[in-house]
Amino acid sequence: LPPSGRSSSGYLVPTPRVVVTGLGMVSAAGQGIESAWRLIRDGRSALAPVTLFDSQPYGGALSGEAVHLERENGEDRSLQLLRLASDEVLEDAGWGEAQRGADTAVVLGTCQGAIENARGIHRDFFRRPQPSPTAEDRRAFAEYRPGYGTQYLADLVHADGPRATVGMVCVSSSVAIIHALDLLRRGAAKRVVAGGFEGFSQFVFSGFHCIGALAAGPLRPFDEERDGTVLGEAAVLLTLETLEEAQARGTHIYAEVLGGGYAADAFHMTAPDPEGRGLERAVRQALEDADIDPTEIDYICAHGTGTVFNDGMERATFERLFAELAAAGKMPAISSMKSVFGHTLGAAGALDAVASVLALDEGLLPPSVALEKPIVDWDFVQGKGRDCNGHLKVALSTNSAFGGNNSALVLRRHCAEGQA
Amino acid sequence: MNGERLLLSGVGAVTWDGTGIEAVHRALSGMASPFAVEEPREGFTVEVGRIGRINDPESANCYKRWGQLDTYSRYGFVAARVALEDAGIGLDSEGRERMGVMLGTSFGCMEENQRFDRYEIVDGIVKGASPLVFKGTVDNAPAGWIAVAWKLGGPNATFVSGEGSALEALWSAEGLLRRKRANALLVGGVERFSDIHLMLVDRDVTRHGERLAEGAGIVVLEREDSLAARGRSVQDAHAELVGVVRCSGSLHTSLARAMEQLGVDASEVGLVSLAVPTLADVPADVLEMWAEGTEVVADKEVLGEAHGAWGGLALSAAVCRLGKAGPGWQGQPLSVIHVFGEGSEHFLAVLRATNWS
Repeated sequence: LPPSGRSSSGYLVPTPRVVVTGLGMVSAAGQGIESAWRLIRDGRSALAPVTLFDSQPYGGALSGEAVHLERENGEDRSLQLLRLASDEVLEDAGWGEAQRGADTAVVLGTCQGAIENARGIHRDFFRRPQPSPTAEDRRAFAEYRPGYGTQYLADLVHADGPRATVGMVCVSSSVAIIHALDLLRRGAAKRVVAGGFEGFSQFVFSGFHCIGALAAGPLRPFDEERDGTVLGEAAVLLTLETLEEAQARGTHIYAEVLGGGYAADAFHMTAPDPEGRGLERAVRQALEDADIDPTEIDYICAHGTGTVFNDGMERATFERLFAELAAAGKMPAISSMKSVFGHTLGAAGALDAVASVLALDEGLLPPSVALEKPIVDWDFVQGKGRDCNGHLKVALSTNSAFGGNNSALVLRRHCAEGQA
Repeated sequence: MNGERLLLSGVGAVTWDGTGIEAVHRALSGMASPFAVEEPREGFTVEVGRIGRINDPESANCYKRWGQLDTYSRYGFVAARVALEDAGIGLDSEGRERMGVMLGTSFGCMEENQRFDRYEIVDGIVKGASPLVFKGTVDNAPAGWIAVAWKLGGPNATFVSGEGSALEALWSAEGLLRRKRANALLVGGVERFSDIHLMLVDRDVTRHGERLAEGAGIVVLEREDSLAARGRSVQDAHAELVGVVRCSGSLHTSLARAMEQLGVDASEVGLVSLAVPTLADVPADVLEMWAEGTEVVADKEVLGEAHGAWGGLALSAAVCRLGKAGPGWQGQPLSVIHVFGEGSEHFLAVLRATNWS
């Protein structure tokens, strides 16, 4: 017989409800959730010309760099972002000594991790004569291992429980949040710091340039004149814990994580399935996990990279998923955060989750700032944030990635007992 | 048949000594070719189970874009092909939209990243980045290629959680299958070494073995009802996955907690596979946990330290050891596979032999 309190499938009985109790973020908007939310609410973009390197060989372009960030002690930029975001998330969640130890987990997603410091090694060690490795080389290489950021953060927050890292490009941090949900539901942790981080790097910029995915001008998700994406950088963290624990602490609850799902396109390594069948499977899994119907979704925080292929794929997916609502002219409101912060790759899923959480908590729909001519007559949120008079209850956040990966998260506004 | 059981219905592996489960057999029986001795930097030699650029005609036959795969992806692709063939799942099998890929790796695409950097951007000047190289610069490349080639549209994830990555994937896969989010999942790990890794590796390695190895170990983990729907029985599978448990703390404490959580009695365990470099590294209290006759092994001694691929290779090795001394393992139904997680975490997977009654 399974041990008491655990089903034969290994899940705790009853399955605990999981809530978001803290947020932390460093991005092109600056340091802190407040500065990011102000930008979203006001419908302003943080995108600006590249400063980290000379972008002229690429024809020049915009980026979502955290330009306020001064480089410190040779620390890789991505880890610097992570450290600053961790200070905020712990303070926001009100975590102290009692939240340290083996019951606390860290789950992060990243695309390239601490790659900037490693790039010098890439070049130097293939020259002749080969240099002798220095302590600095060893440190840079050790930090470059994809799972290093998670170790770094876990040590910072004194989390001795599970430490997992997801390496799935642009769905990395949304899958990290889903993995964190699983850890809590299966009793492998009582609380989790989850999210993602990504430094802006010439490496990735060059790659996106070579596949023709970069925009010549502003990033315009779901716009008829969209021509590509703009890369950004961020570290975005959320504290997740069981509802029971959050209520016992009497802390503010931003939202409830109802469910998540991920699935493959099984179509192409770098191009999405035009029909969006993988994303549809991911969303249906998330809805099943959340035990809700598509008609209950009020807002979609879409991946919306601004590329012709991605946004077309998402349109095809949503057309099928929400056919009933579309026919009745009641499509959920849709927007993409990429036009504000740029595409932050490994941090993008967490950034979209945070935007969704704040939207639910504040009752305000985030806009796609540069959207002027929508590709379809749906309820795209344009201009500034839109007050929804308390009608915003459930949000769906979707992401897609190279490798044909797709993910979906369902979040619900938290209502204290007695509230509608 | 309640459909709740999860079976290892296929096993695939790639080692420095070849492709398939036979390569693991050879290593375990001392018949494999010796590790290569490399001198990545002057005065520093290291034993390496190096695979290098792998050419696999059978993979090339089953996927027309095989030539585009980077080396890291090839290891995973070949191990997956062998596992799928072993499970009897082909390119025309039904229900592949409910089959997925869950992999782990420690270093991922680092070698591809180095290629991209060395040849595409030199001294800050763009020399002409290649889209073909760029598509290999993501850690999820093997899982992506496998899904594309076999049209596996189910859950697909890649964990980069160090040595524990493959069992992180197994832990996650177990949850997905038990909740019926998929019918079958390819699960395991893939590792390719970068040259820089060898250049910068410390000599004073303690937790990991001195012998480093590239490789991939992938199994097909399948729901019993899915196996039955494909016309196969439980006895056609190699073993049942009783469960995967993750614990922080000492190895002894973690093993005890895992066995309690899974309802396992030590007297039923015939094989214990520990992720230590040699048995000399095993604490006495861990060795004393088992009944007389239980075989305790440190397979890294013969298979090498394959980091993120280790969990997958350890599962393959446990399957190889089935039935060597009577049914099950040493005449007992259960085996315990241990892999180090990040920090102080341990992963413990328990298998039950299907050939044991």
